[in-house]
Amino acid sequence: MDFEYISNPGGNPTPVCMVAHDLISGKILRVWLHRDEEGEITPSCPISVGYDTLYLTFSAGAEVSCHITLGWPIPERLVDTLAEFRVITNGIPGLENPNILTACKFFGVGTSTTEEYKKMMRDRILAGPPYSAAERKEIMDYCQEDVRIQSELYLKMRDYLDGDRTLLRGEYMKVMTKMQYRGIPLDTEVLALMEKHLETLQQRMIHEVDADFNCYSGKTFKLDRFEDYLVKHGILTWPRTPSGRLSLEDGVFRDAVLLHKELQPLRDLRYLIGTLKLNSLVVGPDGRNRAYLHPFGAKTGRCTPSSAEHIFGPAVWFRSLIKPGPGKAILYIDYCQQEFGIGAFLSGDRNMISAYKTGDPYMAFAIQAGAAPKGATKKTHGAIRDLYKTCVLALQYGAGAQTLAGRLGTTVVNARYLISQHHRVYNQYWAWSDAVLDTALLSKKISTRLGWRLRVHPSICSKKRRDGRITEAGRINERSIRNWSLQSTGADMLRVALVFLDREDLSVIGAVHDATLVECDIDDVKDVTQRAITAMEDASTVTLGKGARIFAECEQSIVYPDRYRDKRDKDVGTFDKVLRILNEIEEGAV
Amino acid sequence: MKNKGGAPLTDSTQSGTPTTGISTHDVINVAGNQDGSDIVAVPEVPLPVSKPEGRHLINYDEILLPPDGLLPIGHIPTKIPVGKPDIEVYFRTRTDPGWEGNLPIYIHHGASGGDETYLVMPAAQKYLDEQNLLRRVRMFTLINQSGDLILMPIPLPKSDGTTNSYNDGKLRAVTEGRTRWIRMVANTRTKGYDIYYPESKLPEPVWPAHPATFHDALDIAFAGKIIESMDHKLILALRGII
Repeated sequence: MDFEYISNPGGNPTPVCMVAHDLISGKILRVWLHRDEEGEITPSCPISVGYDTLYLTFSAGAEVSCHITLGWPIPERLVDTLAEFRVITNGIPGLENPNILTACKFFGVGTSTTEEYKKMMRDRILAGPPYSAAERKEIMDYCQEDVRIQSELYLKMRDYLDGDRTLLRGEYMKVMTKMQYRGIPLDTEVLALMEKHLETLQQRMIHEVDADFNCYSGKTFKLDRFEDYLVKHGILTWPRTPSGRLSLEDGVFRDAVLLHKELQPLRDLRYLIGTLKLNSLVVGPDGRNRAYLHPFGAKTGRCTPSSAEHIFGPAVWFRSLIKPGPGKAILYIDYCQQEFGIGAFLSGDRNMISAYKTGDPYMAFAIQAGAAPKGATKKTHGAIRDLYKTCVLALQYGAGAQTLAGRLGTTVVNARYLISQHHRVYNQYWAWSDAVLDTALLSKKISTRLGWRLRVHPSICSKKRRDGRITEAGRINERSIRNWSLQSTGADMLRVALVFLDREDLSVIGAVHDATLVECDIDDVKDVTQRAITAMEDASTVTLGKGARIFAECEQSIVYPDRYRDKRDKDVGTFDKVLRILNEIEEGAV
Repeated sequence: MKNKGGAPLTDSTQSGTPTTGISTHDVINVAGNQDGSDIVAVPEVPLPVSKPEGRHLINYDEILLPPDGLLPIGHIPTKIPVGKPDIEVYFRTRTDPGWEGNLPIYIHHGASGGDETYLVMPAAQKYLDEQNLLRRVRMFTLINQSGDLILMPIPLPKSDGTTNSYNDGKLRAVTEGRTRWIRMVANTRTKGYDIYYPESKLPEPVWPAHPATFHDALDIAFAGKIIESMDHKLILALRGII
C-alpha cells in the first residue's frame, strides 16, 4: 500500500492518490484522492483493513496519517517494512537512515526508480494542484511502482519477520502516527513574540545573563573570557579540543552543569544566541508542534526527531512553550529510575531489584554499600544519597572513574572506590553485563527480549568524542554495548506503553525518552492519570517478564492556563526571564 | 515531465500465493479510467472491517524472547585464585560436598617473593613427598561478595594425626563460612585466626553458573600449574638439572 500526499509543514498530509496491491489475488487498485472542486466526495476506504488483512507498507507514518485525514479506519494488522528493515540491519554501517531504494538494493529488488526521479516526483506532488491528466497518470504510475517494489521487498523480507513482535512494532507505528497527527499544543502568542522580538530579546538576555559571566562581546562568545571565568571560579578541568582550545560542545556544558549548576544560565544563553532557530520549529496552523519523529532512528530503537524541529530539543527552558488549550490538561507521566529498574530485572540481581522496589534506589544503594545506616532517607542523608545517585547514573551511561571523579569533584581514587562498591553490591548485574558484552563480541549480535537487534560492527561502535577526536576505528566501544541493552529495552518499553495507552483510548501527544504526554479534559485528569500510570506499568511487565514492574508517576499535571515547566529550568528561571523581557519589550519598557 | 517507463507487467501467477506478477486486467482504477484521466463516481459503501470475536491481535503473554537464548555465552571466569581470602574480604564456603576435595599440591616460592601453588600428579608426588615438599590439602570453594570464586587449601592432618593451630583456625573459619559471611584475620598471639562477622545482613551468595563443577574450577585455577611428571621444569630445577 502506498499513498502520495502533499505535506503541510506543521500540519497533516493532504492525500493525493493511493495504490494498493493484493498479494494474494494480484489485483491492483489505483485511487485518485485529491479533490480539486469543492463538494467533491472523497471515496471511502476501498480495501478491507480488518483483522484478516495484513496491511503492508514502508514507513507506515504516511499511510496511517492519510487514513486519518480521509476518515478511513486504521488498519488492524499492520507491518511496517521500514521498521522491520531497521531490525534486520541495525548496526550495519551506512544503513542508519534507509529509504526504500536502500532496502531494495540490500535485498536485491530491482527498480528503475532513481533517487533523482523520486525527488522530482515528490517535488511535483508537493507543489500541489492543479494536476493535468498526464501528471495524474504519471503520479499514479509512480505510486504503483513504489507499491510493486514494496511487494517484492516484503516477499524477500518475510522470512525474517518476527511474529507478534513484528505486529507490535506495527501497532507502535499506528500509535506514533496518531500521536504525531495530534501534535503538542504550544503557546503561540509567546512564540510569536519571540519571533517578532528575537534580536532584541537576544541582546537583552546577553545584557542580563552575561553580567555574571562576562563572556560575550556583542553576540560573540569569547573563549578567552570564558577561560578567565573558569579560572576565576576554580573550574580547572574543562575538556579541550585536540588543538587545545576549550571545548564548547553542548554535551560538555551539559556535563559541567551537573557539577556547576551556576553554568546553566550561560548554557541556555548560548542556545538562545547560537542554536535556536525559531523558524525550524514545526508548528501547524492550529499552533501544535508536529515534528517528524523519525521512529527507530537510533541504534537503540529510540526516535530521533530533529532537535530544531521538535519542541523537546536540547534547551529545557524552551519546552515551557508547551501549554494546553482552554479546558485541557497535559499529563507528563514518566517511569521512575527506568534504567536502574531495567538493569535490575534483566540481570535478576536480587540486591538491585530489592533496591529498586524501595522506591529510592539511590538511597538503597548507599545503605547496601554501608555508606548510610538502615532507615536513612533523602532528608536525613541527602548528601550521601546524591553521591551514590551520581555514581549510579554515571555507571548506567558507562562512565569510568575519571568521568565520575569529574562529576563528583573528587579524586579518581575515591571514584574507583565508589565504583568498586557498585560492583560488590550488584555483582549479579555486572556478571549479566559481562555476559551481554561477551555475547556481543563473540556472536556479533545482540537482541532485546522484544526482538530489537543490533549487529555489532567495530567501525560503528567507535564514536566522536566530545573533544572532537574519533575513537579508533576497528575498536568496539564496550561501554556502548553494555549500555545498549538497557537503553533498547527502555525504548521497547516505551513502545509498548504507547500501544497500551492507545488501547485505553487515551490521547497521547508526545513521548520523550522514558516519559509520555497525555492530553485530556481538565475534569478527567484524575481518572486519566491513574489509567495512564497503570498502562505504563503494565507495559513494563510485558517488556521485562512476569514479576517485573517499573513504577510510573505523573511528574507534572499541567492544567490550563499553566504551562509545562522542566524541573531543570525551575531553579534557573531562563524561561521566566525570557517572558519578562518579551513583555517589557511589548510594553515599550525598553 | 519525463516519462520514466514503469516496470513491465506480466501475467499473474497462481491464486492464493502472494506474488508481484501483475496482469493489466488486474488493475482497477477507481475514480478514473485506465489512464487515470477521468473521474468516475466512486461507490460510497465502505467495505466491512471484520473484528475478531474474542481474538487478540498480539499474545502479550508469550511475546518475549527467552532470556537464555539472548545470552548464549555466559560469563566464564578465566582465573580463580588459590589461597586464603584477603583479610578485608568477606566470604562464604560452598556447602555442596562435590565442591571440595583432597588434593596434593606443591607451593613454589618464587624469586620475587610471590608463591605459586601447583597441582601434583602421581608421577611426581613421591619425589616431592620424600623431600617434604608435597602438601596434602583439602581444597574448599569459597565465594566473595563480588561473586568471585576462591579455592582455599587447608593442609590435612599429618599421618600421626597432628595439625597446627593456624590450620585448625582456617578449618574453623571455613566451617563457619558455610552458614555465615565472615572475614578471617591471622592472630600471631594466639597463632590462629580471628573471625569477623558483618554488622549488616548481607544477602545470600549466588554461586555462578560457570564453572559448572569442582573439576572445571580446578582446571581454571591450575591452568598451566600442573606438575605432571618428573620432567616438569620445577622438578628439574629441584633436581639441579636446569
